[in-house]
Amino acid sequence: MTLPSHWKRVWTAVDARLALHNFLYEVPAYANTLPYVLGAITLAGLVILVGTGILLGQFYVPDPSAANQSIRAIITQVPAGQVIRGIHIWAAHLTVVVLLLHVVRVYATGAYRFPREANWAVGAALLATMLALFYTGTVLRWDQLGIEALKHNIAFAALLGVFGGWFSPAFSNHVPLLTRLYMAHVSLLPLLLFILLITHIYLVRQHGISAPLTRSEPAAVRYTFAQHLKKAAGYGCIMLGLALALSVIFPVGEGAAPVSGIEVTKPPWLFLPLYGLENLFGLQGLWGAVAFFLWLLAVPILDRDRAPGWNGRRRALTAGAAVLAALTGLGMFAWLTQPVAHFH
Amino acid sequence: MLGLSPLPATTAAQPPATPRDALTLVRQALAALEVSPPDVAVATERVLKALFAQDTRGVDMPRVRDAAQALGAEDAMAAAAYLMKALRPAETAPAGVDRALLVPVRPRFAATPAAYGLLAAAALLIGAGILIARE
Repeated sequence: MTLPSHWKRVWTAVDARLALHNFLYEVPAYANTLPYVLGAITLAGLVILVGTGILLGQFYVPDPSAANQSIRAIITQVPAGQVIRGIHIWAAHLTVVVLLLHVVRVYATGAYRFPREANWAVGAALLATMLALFYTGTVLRWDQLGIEALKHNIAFAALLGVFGGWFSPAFSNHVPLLTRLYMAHVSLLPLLLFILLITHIYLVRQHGISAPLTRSEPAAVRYTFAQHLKKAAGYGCIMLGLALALSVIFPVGEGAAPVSGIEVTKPPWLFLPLYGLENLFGLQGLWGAVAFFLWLLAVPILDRDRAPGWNGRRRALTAGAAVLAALTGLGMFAWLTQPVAHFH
Repeated sequence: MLGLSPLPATTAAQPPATPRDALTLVRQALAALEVSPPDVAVATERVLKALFAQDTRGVDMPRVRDAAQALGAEDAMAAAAYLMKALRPAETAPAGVDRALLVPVRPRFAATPAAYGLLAAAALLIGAGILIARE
């Protein structure tokens, strides 16, 4: 890194206090290729979500009698409210897409194998937390889609039996479940996400970035972690630009104030596979989510193949492709069928 | 406060699966017609139940009958309009609703200077991002 002398002085002064040189450790060249930056791009997406979420939180009323109205106010009365909400929602979709691609990359290259099994488990927990954030965000819309998503929360609580206490409305009779899910969306889940992220990044630092299966490292090229972060910031800018463009071209609206007692909506694309399972097996289909995450956690145990290169990945890739095909099939099935009433 | 009760405040006491008051049934029918594509079967079922409901407070029943006829003619848009008219405004009846909240907000792309300005900002962000990522 070559800097002009005045910038060098600033850097020296700041670095003396913040020890930023610790971020200048060397990373392999492949770590700066797109497949290996997906995790860092997810982090950039989270920064956008936190920023826009804090702004939206100033105008949202997490009470069943006023939530829908407050979103209408955000769209129609708050300066730039519609665009900020649009960025928040579109960035959530984009971040989840990038996160899923990251999971696929890690799985495909077998990066969960020794010594990274624990970090894979942390990653699975991160994925679950992100899905929970997406789910609670859907409820916060407090339109027909939101209230029907909330019903699933209650149904899931019943399925979990004694373990479903927190998810149940009976947990706190005088506080609406919407308010508690809002609390989860803005504090509990972000806190959990933060702890898991720190653990994830710490373990990546300890074990290093897993090597690709086939490519050899050109010895002459040297990169630092700061460059890795810079690249991720670049992709973060692209994501913000995309979310902004999408929020202008396809502005996000708000449904009518909800009414309970019917099911006429389908969940967002992310939950369509689960909805498909629910259509097939009723509410018991919600166990499918538990089964999926148990499978994710078990992947390092199930995959005993240690052969090097792509040859050692055949069985795992076949299993992964089967799971992906099943999820896609269930999602397509749910997308193509009429909404089904699971409660009434 | 808003003349609308989307859900009981705590949801601890679950409402009955099939409500008996015309107001809730009409709102359910309206919700079924507002999704894309409209769920005419659910809406028809709820409207028919509303026609035979004993508690019709807050609902203009002749309009519900008009909605039933529109649904019979498979005209979901007309049925939704009738159902909206059937709901009495909150200020005139204790069981009425704030009809403004029953109309979805569906903003569309507005070809305004502000919108183009935002799109230009988006293009700049994407361009800057590409530059930083490729550096």
